[in-house]
Parts: sequence; structure tokens; C-alpha cells
Amino acid sequence: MRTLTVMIFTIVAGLSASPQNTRQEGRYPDWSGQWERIGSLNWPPEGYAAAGPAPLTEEYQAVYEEIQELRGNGILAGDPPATCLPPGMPRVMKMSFPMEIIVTPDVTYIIADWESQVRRIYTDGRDWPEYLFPEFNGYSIGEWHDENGDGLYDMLSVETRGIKGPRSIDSTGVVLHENDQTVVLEELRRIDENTLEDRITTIDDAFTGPWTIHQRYNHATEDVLWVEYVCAEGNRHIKLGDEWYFLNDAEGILEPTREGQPRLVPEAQVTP
Amino acid sequence: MKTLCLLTLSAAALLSLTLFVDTASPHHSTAIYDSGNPVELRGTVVEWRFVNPHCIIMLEVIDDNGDTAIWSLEGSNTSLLIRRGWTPVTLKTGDEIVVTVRPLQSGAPGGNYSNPRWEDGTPVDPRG
Repeated sequence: MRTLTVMIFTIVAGLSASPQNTRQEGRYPDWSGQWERIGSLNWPPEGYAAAGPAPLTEEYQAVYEEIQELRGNGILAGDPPATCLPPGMPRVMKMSFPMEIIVTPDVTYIIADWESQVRRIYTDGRDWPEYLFPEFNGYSIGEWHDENGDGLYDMLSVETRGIKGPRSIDSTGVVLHENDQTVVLEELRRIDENTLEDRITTIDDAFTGPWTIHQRYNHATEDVLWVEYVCAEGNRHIKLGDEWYFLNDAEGILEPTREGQPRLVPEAQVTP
Repeated sequence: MKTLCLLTLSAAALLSLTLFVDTASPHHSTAIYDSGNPVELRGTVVEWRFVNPHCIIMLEVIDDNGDTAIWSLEGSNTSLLIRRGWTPVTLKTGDEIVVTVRPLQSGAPGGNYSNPRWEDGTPVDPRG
């Protein structure tokens, strides 16, 4: 009988303490609608000209300079989305195109028009998995906070790990370290009715230390539309081994991008 | 009927082109193009693809030697152009247009276009 009582108590206590009963759904903010990037496509929203250069280590400064030299010769190095790879974390939060945020008690979804990417930020109290399967957007665990003490959640802190490469921070040739040990910390809060801010700190071995930006997004009220983005439809840039080509499908060939590089013509088109 | 030519850009056109040059761009860097030597291409639209990541124009161009080539040109994206009033039929096969092109550094018929105009010089862009 005592055993049964303990079992019942345990079950009832367990139920009352379960996440389902403590979510208090009315506490979560409404961040719905369309959010558009404010500021530069450079990683610092104010642009490198105003913010100064990326805090690259000596090793990755050399990588950056090599990328500039390659680009000067027509080779599109250091910019993985050029071949339709997703931008990955943290670059996806630059939001080249608008994003939608869906807040639920267990998961906050960030849906980016750019490359039709989805981030899932788990807020159900879970711990890190034993093994993080590498993905371009990584694995994100978040926690809601009530910063102004009014009983409502107003800030979402996020930690993202397990991020797959290759990645660049933007399109300027600043690439993240090839060891893919990046950790991204974020604080998302609505700073006024029309503005959402993501304080993004990137910890990566390509940088001399944590690199924080304050990326803001405007709440769109006009021209709100969502546009499908399927990169394979119109991509021109093809990488074969170490060579880059530019697709000319009307002619059925791959055009060279650098001086002295031959056209790549299918064997069937070559006149004997 | 397909009177085409490669023109060196005027100073004014060059100035307008610089408005499109950025050290960062939505999809990928444009640093691979020969931005220092833009050209104006006059040609006939073979195909217009209103797709991402770039809206593509395949443009048949006859050069000064009378040789014909189809240029593969990438430009803006549907997300931006829809908001400016563009549609999948803004351009049609057979349209005669002029575009400003930052060509591939190889000299091959490909590159990044901007500022498409009709033959009379009016912008193709519905918002001008």
C-alpha cells in the first residue's frame, strides 16, 4: 500500500512539474510577421569601412589575402553559397532576404527565404545530444528570459554548436575555420515595435577572439510576400576539382572564368 | 535585324554601374567579374529566366566582326525584382535590349548584368 502511494505521488508530482504544465503559453512574445535585415551585407551591419576589418588570426588573414588574389583572377573562392551550399550559421542570420519567426513553447523556428533555410531553436529544456551530427545551421538550444520583470518573456538566448562547413561570415572572403568548431551565442530581443535585434557572438578559431555584432531587422508592413528560393534553378557557378566555370546552358558549355582556362565542351559537341 | 554591338561605357554609365558594385552581395561575391572594364551589350533575348539565385538573361550578341555568341548573364533575384514589379514575362524571347555587363575575366561570353534597357533607352525596370 505504501509503495502504491509513493508511486501515485511520484506520478502526480511528475505531471505537475512536467514542461507541459509549466510552459505558461501566454508568456511568450509574438514575433510573427516578416523581418528584413537592416544595414550592410557585410558581417558588421555598419559595414567594414565603418567597423574596421574582421578580427582574423594571422593564419586566416593569409587565407583572406589568398582568396582576394584568387578572386582577382576570376576564381570565386571563399564564398560557399556561390555553388548553392547554404550560408550556415552564423551567416544565415545576415538574412539576405526576409525571415519569419514562429515561437512555440518547445521550439522557436526561424525560417529564412534565403536558400529556404530553417533553424530550430529548442527551448524545451533539453541537454546537448551525446553526438552532434554536423549541419550547416548547427544545433541550437535556447532559453527564454524575462528581462524587465513583467512576467512575460522578452529575450531568447541561444547557443549553437555542431556547425558544418565550409562557411564564410559574408561574401567578402572572410571564411570560418576549417575545423568547424564554431560556437555561436545569440540574444534575440524586440527593442521596439518595429525592430528586432540579434546580438550575435561568433567564437571561431579563425578569429582572434569572440566577435559580436548587433544585427537588427525591420518589421515589414508593406510589400510583405514570401518568395521561393531554389538555388539550383538559376545558379551559374560550377566548381569541378580546383577549376571554376560559368554555366552557359544555352550554348551547352561551361565557360572559363579565368584567363587561359579552356572552355569545357561536352564530348558530343566536339567536332572531330 | 539583330544589330548588336559591344560598346565601351560612357562615363555616366560607368557612374551608374558603380551603384551596383558592393563588396558584399546577397548570394555571392561579384569580385570575380572584370568590374574595371564593363561593357554594354546590345542583343536579342534568347531566354529570360525569372528564377533564383539570379534572374538569367541568355542574350544573343553579334560582335564587331559579325560573330554571334549567346551570352549567359546573371543579375538580380526574384525577391527584389518582384517587389519592383518584374514578372516571368517582363522579357520575352526576341526582345531587343541593351544591358550593362561586368564580364568574366576570361573574356568568355558571360557575366553580371545590370540596368537593362529597351532599344530606345527606357529602363526595363517597371519602376525605372
